[in-house]
Amino acid sequence: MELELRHHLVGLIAGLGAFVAYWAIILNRAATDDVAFTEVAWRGPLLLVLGVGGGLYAVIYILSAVRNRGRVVTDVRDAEIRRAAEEAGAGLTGIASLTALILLGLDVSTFWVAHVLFVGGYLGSLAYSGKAITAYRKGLA
Amino acid sequence: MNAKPLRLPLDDEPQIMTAEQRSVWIYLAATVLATVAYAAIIVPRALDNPVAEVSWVRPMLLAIGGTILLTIVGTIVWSIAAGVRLGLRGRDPEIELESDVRDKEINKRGTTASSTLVGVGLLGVLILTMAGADHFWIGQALYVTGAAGGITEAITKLRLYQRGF
Repeated sequence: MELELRHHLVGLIAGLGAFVAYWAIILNRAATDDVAFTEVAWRGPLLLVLGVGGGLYAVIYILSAVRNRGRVVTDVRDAEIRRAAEEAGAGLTGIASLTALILLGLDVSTFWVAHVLFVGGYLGSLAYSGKAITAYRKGLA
Repeated sequence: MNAKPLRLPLDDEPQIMTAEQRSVWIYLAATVLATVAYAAIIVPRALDNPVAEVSWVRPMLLAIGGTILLTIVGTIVWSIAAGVRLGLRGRDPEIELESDVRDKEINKRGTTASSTLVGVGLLGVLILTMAGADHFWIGQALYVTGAAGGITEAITKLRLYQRGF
Protein backbone atom coordinates (compact mmCIF):
# COMPACT_ATOMS: atom_id res chain seq x y z
CA MET A 1 0.00 0.00 0.00
CA GLU A 2 1.28 3.47 -0.87
CA LEU A 3 2.34 5.62 2.06
CA GLU A 4 0.07 8.45 0.95
CA LEU A 5 -2.90 6.10 0.74
CA ARG A 6 -2.14 5.01 4.28
CA HIS A 7 -2.22 8.66 5.39
CA HIS A 8 -5.56 9.17 3.69
CA LEU A 9 -6.95 6.11 5.47
CA VAL A 10 -5.61 7.31 8.83
CA GLY A 11 -7.20 10.70 8.19
CA LEU A 12 -10.51 9.09 7.31
CA ILE A 13 -10.53 6.96 10.45
CA ALA A 14 -9.39 9.77 12.78
CA GLY A 15 -12.05 12.07 11.32
CA LEU A 16 -14.79 9.49 11.65
CA GLY A 17 -13.76 8.70 15.22
CA ALA A 18 -13.76 12.38 16.22
CA PHE A 19 -17.10 13.05 14.54
CA VAL A 20 -18.87 10.05 16.10
CA ALA A 21 -17.35 10.67 19.55
CA TYR A 22 -18.46 14.31 19.45
CA TRP A 23 -22.06 13.53 18.60
CA ALA A 24 -22.17 10.72 21.13
CA ILE A 25 -21.15 13.17 23.86
CA ILE A 26 -23.54 15.89 22.69
CA LEU A 27 -26.57 13.62 22.24
CA ASN A 28 -25.89 12.05 25.62
CA ARG A 29 -25.70 15.45 27.26
CA ALA A 30 -28.84 16.61 25.49
CA ALA A 31 -30.66 13.56 26.84
CA THR A 32 -29.41 13.80 30.40
CA ASP A 33 -28.82 17.52 31.06
CA ASP A 34 -32.48 18.47 30.66
CA VAL A 35 -31.82 21.65 28.66
CA ALA A 36 -32.74 22.74 25.13
CA PHE A 37 -30.60 21.06 22.46
CA THR A 38 -28.79 24.29 21.51
CA GLU A 39 -28.02 25.01 25.16
CA VAL A 40 -25.93 21.88 25.65
CA ALA A 41 -22.34 22.60 26.71
CA TRP A 42 -20.72 21.85 23.34
CA ARG A 43 -17.54 23.94 23.49
CA GLY A 44 -15.44 21.61 25.61
CA PRO A 45 -16.24 18.42 23.68
CA LEU A 46 -15.61 20.12 20.32
CA LEU A 47 -12.22 21.36 21.43
CA LEU A 48 -11.45 17.92 22.82
CA VAL A 49 -12.30 15.91 19.68
CA LEU A 50 -10.59 18.43 17.38
CA GLY A 51 -7.50 18.35 19.55
CA VAL A 52 -7.38 14.58 19.92
CA GLY A 53 -8.29 13.82 16.28
CA GLY A 54 -5.93 16.42 14.85
CA GLY A 55 -3.18 15.49 17.31
CA LEU A 56 -3.45 11.79 16.50
CA TYR A 57 -3.24 12.44 12.79
CA ALA A 58 -0.29 14.80 13.29
CA VAL A 59 1.61 12.29 15.44
CA ILE A 60 1.20 9.50 12.88
CA TYR A 61 2.14 11.85 10.08
CA ILE A 62 5.27 13.11 11.84
CA LEU A 63 6.32 9.58 12.87
CA SER A 64 6.11 8.36 9.30
CA ALA A 65 7.90 11.46 8.02
CA VAL A 66 10.73 10.87 10.47
CA ARG A 67 10.96 7.18 9.64
CA ASN A 68 11.17 7.95 5.92
CA ARG A 69 13.40 11.00 6.12
CA GLY A 70 15.74 11.43 3.20
CA ARG A 71 13.74 9.03 1.06
CA VAL A 72 11.41 9.93 -1.76
CA VAL A 73 8.06 8.41 -0.79
CA THR A 74 5.63 10.18 -3.13
CA ASP A 75 5.43 10.34 -6.90
CA VAL A 76 3.55 12.21 -9.58
CA ARG A 77 0.54 9.96 -9.17
CA ASP A 78 0.27 10.73 -5.43
CA ALA A 79 0.44 14.45 -6.15
CA GLU A 80 -2.15 14.21 -8.90
CA ILE A 81 -4.54 12.27 -6.66
CA ARG A 82 -4.04 14.75 -3.82
CA ARG A 83 -4.92 17.63 -6.11
CA ALA A 84 -8.08 15.93 -7.36
CA ALA A 85 -9.09 15.12 -3.77
CA GLU A 86 -8.49 18.66 -2.56
CA GLU A 87 -10.66 19.97 -5.37
CA ALA A 88 -13.42 17.54 -4.37
CA GLY A 89 -13.37 18.72 -0.75
CA ALA A 90 -12.99 22.44 -1.37
CA GLY A 91 -16.50 22.98 -2.75
CA LEU A 92 -18.24 21.63 0.35
CA THR A 93 -16.01 23.59 2.70
CA GLY A 94 -16.73 26.75 0.73
CA ILE A 95 -20.49 26.19 0.95
CA ALA A 96 -20.18 25.60 4.71
CA SER A 97 -18.30 28.89 5.26
CA LEU A 98 -20.82 30.82 3.20
CA THR A 99 -23.70 29.25 5.13
CA ALA A 100 -21.98 30.14 8.41
CA LEU A 101 -21.64 33.76 7.23
CA ILE A 102 -25.34 33.91 6.36
CA LEU A 103 -26.25 32.44 9.75
CA LEU A 104 -24.10 35.10 11.43
CA GLY A 105 -25.98 37.69 9.39
CA LEU A 106 -29.31 36.31 10.61
CA ASP A 107 -27.91 36.60 14.16
CA VAL A 108 -28.68 33.01 15.19
CA SER A 109 -26.86 31.51 18.17
CA THR A 110 -23.17 30.63 17.96
CA PHE A 111 -24.17 26.98 18.41
CA TRP A 112 -25.50 26.80 14.86
CA VAL A 113 -22.59 28.71 13.34
CA ALA A 114 -20.06 26.40 14.95
CA HIS A 115 -21.97 23.26 13.97
CA VAL A 116 -22.44 24.28 10.36
CA LEU A 117 -18.68 24.83 10.18
CA PHE A 118 -17.88 21.61 12.00
CA VAL A 119 -20.25 19.37 10.02
CA GLY A 120 -19.44 21.14 6.73
CA GLY A 121 -15.73 20.83 7.38
CA TYR A 122 -16.15 17.16 8.22
CA LEU A 123 -18.16 16.48 5.06
CA GLY A 124 -15.47 18.28 3.08
CA SER A 125 -12.79 16.04 4.60
CA LEU A 126 -14.98 13.01 3.87
CA ALA A 127 -15.23 14.02 0.21
CA TYR A 128 -11.44 14.54 0.22
CA SER A 129 -10.65 11.12 1.68
CA GLY A 130 -13.31 9.38 -0.39
CA LYS A 131 -12.04 10.84 -3.63
CA ALA A 132 -8.42 10.02 -2.76
CA ILE A 133 -9.09 6.44 -1.69
CA THR A 134 -11.28 5.61 -4.69
CA ALA A 135 -8.65 7.19 -6.95
CA TYR A 136 -6.00 4.82 -5.53
CA ARG A 137 -8.28 1.83 -6.08
CA LYS A 138 -9.93 2.68 -9.38
CA GLY A 139 -7.80 5.42 -10.89
CA LEU A 140 -8.66 9.03 -11.70
CA ALA A 141 -11.53 9.13 -14.14
CA MET B 1 -22.96 35.84 -45.93
CA ASN B 2 -19.79 35.22 -47.83
CA ALA B 3 -17.37 35.80 -44.98
CA LYS B 4 -13.98 34.15 -45.21
CA PRO B 5 -13.68 31.01 -43.05
CA LEU B 6 -12.03 31.71 -39.70
CA ARG B 7 -8.49 30.46 -39.29
CA LEU B 8 -6.19 29.30 -36.50
CA PRO B 9 -3.36 31.55 -35.29
CA LEU B 10 -0.12 31.51 -37.25
CA ASP B 11 2.95 30.10 -35.58
CA ASP B 12 4.45 33.48 -34.72
CA GLU B 13 1.21 35.21 -33.80
CA PRO B 14 0.77 36.00 -30.10
CA GLN B 15 -1.37 33.53 -28.14
CA ILE B 16 -4.35 35.10 -26.40
CA MET B 17 -5.71 34.33 -22.92
CA THR B 18 -8.52 31.81 -22.60
CA ALA B 19 -11.78 33.03 -21.09
CA GLU B 20 -10.87 31.19 -17.90
CA GLN B 21 -7.57 33.02 -17.51
CA ARG B 22 -9.42 36.31 -17.99
CA SER B 23 -11.86 35.35 -15.26
CA VAL B 24 -8.95 34.78 -12.83
CA TRP B 25 -7.63 38.29 -13.50
CA ILE B 26 -11.07 39.82 -13.03
CA TYR B 27 -11.70 37.76 -9.91
CA LEU B 28 -8.42 38.90 -8.35
CA ALA B 29 -9.16 42.55 -9.12
CA ALA B 30 -12.75 42.24 -7.86
CA THR B 31 -11.72 40.53 -4.61
CA VAL B 32 -9.05 43.11 -3.80
CA LEU B 33 -11.42 45.95 -4.68
CA ALA B 34 -14.30 44.57 -2.62
CA THR B 35 -12.07 43.83 0.37
CA VAL B 36 -10.58 47.33 0.37
CA ALA B 37 -14.03 48.91 0.06
CA TYR B 38 -15.38 46.69 2.83
CA ALA B 39 -12.47 47.49 5.14
CA ALA B 40 -12.87 51.20 4.41
CA ILE B 41 -16.46 51.00 5.66
CA ILE B 42 -15.99 48.65 8.61
CA VAL B 43 -12.68 49.67 10.18
CA PRO B 44 -13.76 53.25 11.04
CA ARG B 45 -17.08 51.92 12.38
CA ALA B 46 -15.33 49.34 14.54
CA LEU B 47 -12.91 51.93 15.90
CA ASP B 48 -15.69 54.34 16.88
CA ASN B 49 -18.18 51.87 18.37
CA PRO B 50 -18.09 48.74 20.50
CA VAL B 51 -17.76 45.84 18.02
CA ALA B 52 -21.00 44.21 19.14
CA GLU B 53 -22.91 47.24 17.82
CA VAL B 54 -21.17 47.51 14.44
CA SER B 55 -23.51 46.55 11.59
CA TRP B 56 -21.22 44.64 9.27
CA VAL B 57 -23.57 42.07 7.72
CA ARG B 58 -24.96 44.14 4.88
CA PRO B 59 -21.57 45.54 3.79
CA MET B 60 -20.07 42.05 3.84
CA LEU B 61 -22.88 40.49 1.82
CA LEU B 62 -22.55 43.39 -0.63
CA ALA B 63 -18.81 42.80 -0.87
CA ILE B 64 -19.27 39.06 -1.54
CA GLY B 65 -22.16 39.57 -3.96
CA GLY B 66 -20.27 42.38 -5.67
CA THR B 67 -17.21 40.18 -6.15
CA ILE B 68 -19.28 37.42 -7.75
CA LEU B 69 -21.27 39.79 -9.97
CA LEU B 70 -18.22 41.76 -11.06
CA THR B 71 -16.34 38.56 -11.90
CA ILE B 72 -19.16 37.19 -14.03
CA VAL B 73 -19.98 40.42 -15.84
CA GLY B 74 -16.33 41.42 -16.25
CA THR B 75 -15.37 38.04 -17.68
CA ILE B 76 -18.24 38.03 -20.16
CA VAL B 77 -17.60 41.58 -21.35
CA TRP B 78 -13.83 41.11 -21.63
CA SER B 79 -14.18 37.76 -23.42
CA ILE B 80 -16.67 39.18 -25.91
CA ALA B 81 -14.34 42.10 -26.60
CA ALA B 82 -11.44 39.69 -27.13
CA GLY B 83 -13.58 37.51 -29.37
CA VAL B 84 -14.61 40.44 -31.53
CA ARG B 85 -10.99 41.58 -31.84
CA LEU B 86 -9.92 38.10 -32.91
CA GLY B 87 -12.78 37.85 -35.38
CA LEU B 88 -11.75 41.10 -37.01
CA ARG B 89 -8.30 39.62 -37.60
CA GLY B 90 -9.92 36.57 -39.14
CA ARG B 91 -9.05 34.19 -36.29
CA ASP B 92 -11.56 31.81 -34.75
CA PRO B 93 -12.48 33.11 -31.26
CA GLU B 94 -14.30 29.97 -30.24
CA ILE B 95 -11.22 27.77 -30.44
CA GLU B 96 -8.88 30.25 -28.80
CA LEU B 97 -11.09 31.38 -25.91
CA GLU B 98 -12.38 27.95 -25.00
CA SER B 99 -11.10 26.26 -21.81
CA ASP B 100 -8.70 23.39 -22.34
CA VAL B 101 -6.82 20.74 -20.38
CA ARG B 102 -4.29 23.31 -19.25
CA ASP B 103 -7.00 25.48 -17.69
CA LYS B 104 -8.36 22.46 -15.85
CA GLU B 105 -4.95 21.48 -14.47
CA ILE B 106 -4.23 25.07 -13.39
CA ASN B 107 -7.60 25.23 -11.67
CA LYS B 108 -6.80 22.15 -9.62
CA ARG B 109 -3.38 23.45 -8.63
CA GLY B 110 -4.93 26.74 -7.58
CA THR B 111 -7.34 24.94 -5.25
CA THR B 112 -4.48 22.93 -3.78
CA ALA B 113 -2.45 26.07 -3.13
CA SER B 114 -5.19 27.65 -1.03
CA SER B 115 -6.65 24.60 0.70
CA THR B 116 -4.19 24.49 3.62
CA LEU B 117 -4.63 28.19 4.29
CA VAL B 118 -8.42 27.89 4.18
CA GLY B 119 -8.35 24.81 6.40
CA VAL B 120 -6.25 26.52 9.06
CA GLY B 121 -8.44 29.64 8.81
CA LEU B 122 -11.63 27.66 9.33
CA LEU B 123 -10.11 25.88 12.30
CA GLY B 124 -9.31 29.32 13.71
CA VAL B 125 -12.92 30.38 13.18
CA LEU B 126 -14.15 27.25 14.98
CA ILE B 127 -11.84 28.03 17.89
CA LEU B 128 -13.28 31.58 17.99
CA THR B 129 -16.79 30.15 18.27
CA MET B 130 -15.64 27.84 21.07
CA ALA B 131 -14.02 30.74 22.88
CA GLY B 132 -17.36 32.53 22.75
CA ALA B 133 -16.04 35.45 20.70
CA ASP B 134 -18.42 38.15 19.51
CA HIS B 135 -20.17 37.41 16.19
CA PHE B 136 -18.39 40.42 14.72
CA TRP B 137 -15.01 38.73 15.09
CA ILE B 138 -16.28 35.37 13.84
CA GLY B 139 -17.67 37.08 10.74
CA GLN B 140 -14.46 39.01 10.08
CA ALA B 141 -12.34 35.88 10.51
CA LEU B 142 -14.53 34.02 8.01
CA TYR B 143 -14.28 36.85 5.49
CA VAL B 144 -10.52 37.17 5.85
CA THR B 145 -10.11 33.40 5.45
CA GLY B 146 -12.19 33.41 2.28
CA ALA B 147 -10.52 36.48 0.79
CA ALA B 148 -6.99 35.29 1.62
CA GLY B 149 -7.76 31.87 0.13
CA GLY B 150 -9.23 33.41 -3.02
CA ILE B 151 -6.29 35.77 -3.52
CA THR B 152 -3.74 32.97 -2.97
CA GLU B 153 -5.60 30.82 -5.45
CA ALA B 154 -5.79 33.56 -8.08
CA ILE B 155 -2.11 34.52 -7.77
CA THR B 156 -1.03 30.87 -7.96
CA LYS B 157 -3.10 30.36 -11.11
CA LEU B 158 -1.80 33.52 -12.77
CA ARG B 159 1.79 32.50 -12.03
CA LEU B 160 1.13 29.11 -13.60
CA TYR B 161 -0.43 30.77 -16.64
CA GLN B 162 2.54 33.09 -17.06
CA ARG B 163 5.44 30.81 -16.21
CA GLY B 164 4.18 27.29 -16.81
CA PHE B 165 4.21 24.36 -14.43
